[in-house]
Amino acid sequence: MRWTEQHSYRLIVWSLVGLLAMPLLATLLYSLSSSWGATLLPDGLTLRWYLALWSEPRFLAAFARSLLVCLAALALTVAVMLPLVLVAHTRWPWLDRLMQQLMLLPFAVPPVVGAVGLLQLYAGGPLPIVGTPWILIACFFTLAVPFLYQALATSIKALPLQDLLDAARLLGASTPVAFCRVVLPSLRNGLLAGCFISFSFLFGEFVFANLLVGTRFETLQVYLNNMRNHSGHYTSALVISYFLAILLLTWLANRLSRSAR
Amino acid sequence: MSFLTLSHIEQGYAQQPLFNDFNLSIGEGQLVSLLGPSGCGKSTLLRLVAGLTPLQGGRIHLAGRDISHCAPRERGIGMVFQSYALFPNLSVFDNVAFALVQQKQPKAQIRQAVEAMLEQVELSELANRLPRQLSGGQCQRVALARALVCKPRLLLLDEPLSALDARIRRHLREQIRQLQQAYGLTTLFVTHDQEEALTLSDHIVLMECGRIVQQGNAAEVYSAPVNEFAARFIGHYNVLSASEAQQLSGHAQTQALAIRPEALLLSTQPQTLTGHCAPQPVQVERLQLLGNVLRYQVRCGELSLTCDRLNQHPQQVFAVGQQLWLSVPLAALRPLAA
Repeated sequence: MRWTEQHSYRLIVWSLVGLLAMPLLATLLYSLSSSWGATLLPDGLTLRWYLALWSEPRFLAAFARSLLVCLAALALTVAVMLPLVLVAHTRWPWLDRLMQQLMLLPFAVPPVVGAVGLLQLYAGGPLPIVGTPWILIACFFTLAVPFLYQALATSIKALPLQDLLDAARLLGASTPVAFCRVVLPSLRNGLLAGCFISFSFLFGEFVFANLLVGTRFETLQVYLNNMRNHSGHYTSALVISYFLAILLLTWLANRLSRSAR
Repeated sequence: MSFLTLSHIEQGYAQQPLFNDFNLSIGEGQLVSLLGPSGCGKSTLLRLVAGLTPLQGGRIHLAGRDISHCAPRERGIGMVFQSYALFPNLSVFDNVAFALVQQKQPKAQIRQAVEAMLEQVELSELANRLPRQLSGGQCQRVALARALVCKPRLLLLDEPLSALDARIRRHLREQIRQLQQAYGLTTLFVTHDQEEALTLSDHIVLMECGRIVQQGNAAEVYSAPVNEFAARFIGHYNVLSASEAQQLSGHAQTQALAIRPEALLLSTQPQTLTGHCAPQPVQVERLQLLGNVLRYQVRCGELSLTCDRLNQHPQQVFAVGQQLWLSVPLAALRPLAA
């Protein structure tokens, strides 16, 4: 009884995993095949497409730009959200309610509408930043806010924050010291989770990047789009590389944070 | 000689003052309980003494020094919170060492002090654990060690035992009392549990709505409640109006009275109750077994009274609905202030 039950669970889980991994596996196989036309299986395996991709300066530049914009946006978001979350949960509770409302905005406005609005606002006027990485960083900031704020707010709400700060003050720590030694380390897991999810989301962002800066500051997704008439093997290699890069970064960050304990 | 003095404390909001000319003084080395229902201001009082809530009016003196507006860390006060407030990211050792690290004491000295403290609260083996790996009682002891390690002049305990199960609560209660007496530490203990206050304290301060209703040692507060609130909060006193008391005792009464449930006498035969007021016929309405005590709810005319009897012989338990005789020893009637 138990035995079969366990196996049926496993069957369900693995078929789900298989279903989700199928497109990725197919892409992987396609990116590794020399040519794959009318036959069921590819004619041969090759690393040619990867070599071509990773020796293409345009790809490397796009990759670096994506990385730069995402990390800059993320750093900005963390720098703004951390103090904000702390203040909203110690001093001004109304700020938390406001943030809960504001957080919905990036999802309420469709990206195309948002992008067109931003284009109108920043194409000319006092701040003509359309086409520069700055507008992308600022725009990505707004996209990362909901993820990061929610992750941080959830972990801070799980702490007896007032008591912790009071205890630290009685034990001789000033409020800034109490934040650094007690509150921030306790928020670390929430912060990391928020960063991972925003990073993978931003790294894959296409609509804003394409409309706001397009080819003037070609990011990875925009490059992928521009290469769509190129060989399918080549773009498959690109997708797989991009996926592996995110996987690697996530693993690395996770690893680093664990060893920092 | 009073060690901690609160004088003319004013606190609260304009529309809703909590304390109005509140005064309290506490002798050195005493364990004083602040007892009262939630919202009576006992926790606020503790926060005022600790300096966690800024004082609006009045003065607080500790060991002859005016600390009314000192920063919390300059007051030399240790505090244990109801939620323990252990730092979740630090090990037991680092939690206890926190204050000493803030004082920038030498490493070796910190290690020695913390180890000695952990020994005292029987936590030496758990020094490297994180708070989430501890049970409630262990967390409580870490919090206590953390508050005591820098040798405070005053220890504040904010309902430290309320989240624990009964057996651990009793054990910890004794441990707190032992440590307090070993150090001769003046302690302010906030609780809403009358049993805790009675068993633990040198002095009990009973509070209601920001006022002191009554204070004294456990025996005084228990045996002589000053008003109806005190009588109802401490012990399960029966509170009787003047006319009810007159009906029950057969003597003229002019004011409200309280009588403890264990002072009432119950019997199946009226003649065994001679020497007191004339026995009254009563009927058992309810019976509660509290272990060593049987608690009866009996009806006497319009009146419903609580009577406690020791659970000495299982055969002598009165049944619900049984007709009995009740007598009131006159000496046990406590007159209450209006």
